[in-house]
Parts: sequence; structure tokens; C-alpha cells
Amino acid sequence: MKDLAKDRMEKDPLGPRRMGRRRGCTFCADDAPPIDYKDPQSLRYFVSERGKIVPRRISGCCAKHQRAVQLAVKHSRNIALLPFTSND
Amino acid sequence: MSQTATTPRVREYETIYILRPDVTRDGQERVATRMSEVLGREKGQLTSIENWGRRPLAYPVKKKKRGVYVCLKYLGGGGLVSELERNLGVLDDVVKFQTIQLRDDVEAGTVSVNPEDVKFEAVDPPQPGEDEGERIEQILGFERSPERSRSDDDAYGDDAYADDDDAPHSMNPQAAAAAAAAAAATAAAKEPVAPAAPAAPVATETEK
Repeated sequence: MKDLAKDRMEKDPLGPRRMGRRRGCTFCADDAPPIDYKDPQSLRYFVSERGKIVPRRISGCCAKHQRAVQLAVKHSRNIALLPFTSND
Repeated sequence: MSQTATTPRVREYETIYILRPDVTRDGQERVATRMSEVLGREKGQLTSIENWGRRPLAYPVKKKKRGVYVCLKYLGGGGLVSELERNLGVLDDVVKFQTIQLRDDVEAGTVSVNPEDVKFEAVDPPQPGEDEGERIEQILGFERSPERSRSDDDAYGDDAYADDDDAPHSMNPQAAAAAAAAAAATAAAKEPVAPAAPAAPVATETEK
């Protein structure tokens, strides 16, 4: 019998990575709040502790909403509501 | 086709400007009236003005750590924005400003304005001693507290993300070990006849 786990290991040297279910885009839901650059608290989830924008792979946003989030974070940074970087 | 000139089409903009933290009530009023003067001159229409009060800046601007935020919303054309921003640049109390276009192609006159929304309310200048408040990292909860638990890290949804954004595909050793163990477990479940499942499937190449 073919060892499925081993097969996967051969294809990807790092092995199966994602455990658990992938969640859909939070903003695609019907009752989703708007993406607002004036509310840094709502953008917090899309920014790392270092202040970097979280990639789509992790935030789970669809491409359209990731672009909107990206723009919102950048607007927010420009008006000093979110940090460009935090080094402490 | 040219547009008929009956209802002028305008855009809706939003300008946020930040005043020095030690600005007086008078200074705040002065900036606000100057803004409404410019809007009147350039045939813009103010739809709301909001004073967010004194709040911490995410990073120091002109060596100030706090600032008074004021948010204006108005209707007008592009020339209005450049004139408004020129004026903001001239005023000494203003340290930073940003304009965003909210909507394009709005019919002027269709937007109803609540008179309460266009009233500017100044905030009191800071009392001596209350100057240092919370920083933005504390407000957003970015600061690591010493008793931070493991589950906090998981809030971001992916372990690989924790600190090495630059090497996204590398896994930390524990996670890799756990994954290998899980793979071994599934392999064992698939082949109940086989003798004790190997601990790490990668290592047993001679099995065939």
C-alpha cells in the first residue's frame, strides 16, 4: 500500500503544513463591518506586532478585500493612527 | 457627449488634520474657521466636522507624541483640495494632514447636512502633568506582556507567522515534529497489519 503521508513528504519537503480548516474572507460576509482607515483598532488584526501588514495567506482575506485592507493600513499609517514600525 | 450643466457633479472628500498637542482653544477655532472660509471661497460644501480630541500619535511627528485630530468631510472639486491643503501647510498649528476621496460623481445639493455636524467644538489645552498618556501600542494591545500565554500567539491563526515574516515557509521545530508525529499516526491507522509504525516516516526509506 502506498504510504500517503510519505508521498506527501516527497512532494513537499516541509510536509503537510496547514492543520485545521481555512476560514473564508471576513469582509465577504454579509454583516461585515466596512474597512475603515480611521479605526486603527479594527485594522489591528491585519497588522503584526511589528506593524507589518499581515499576508493574505494568514489573514484569510480574499484578494479584493486584502487590497482594501492594504490601502486602509497605509492611509492609517500616513496620518499616524498606525505605526510604520514598532521596535520595542 | 458633454454633460448637461444642470446638476454639477462633485466629489466627496475627507481631510484629517493633526494640530499640535498644546494648541489653545482659540488656535483650534482659528484653523477651523480658516477651513470653512476656504470651502466657502472655492464653492465647496462642508458636510461634517469632527474633533477627535487629543490622542497619541503612532510615531512622533515634529517631536510631538500627541496631537489633536480634526476630521472634515466636504463636497467639492479637485481645486478645492489643493487650496485647502495649501492653507493647512501654511498654518503653524497643523503638523500633519491627509485627504482621501470618499465618493466620486456626487450630485451637488442631494446631500443633506445636519447643522449639528458642521459645528466645531474645540478641546481644552492639556493641563500640566497630563501630557504623557497611553501610547498607541498599548491602546492597540501590541505590547507583549510578560505573562502572555501561548494561546495569544494562536490568535493570529498560524504559527508560522509568529515572528519570521521573512522566511514564511520555515516551520518551527516543535510544529515540524508535531506534524511528523501526526503523519506517522495516520500512516499507522491506514496499515493496521504493519508492525509498530516508524516514528518518523522520512527516515525509513528501506521499507519498500
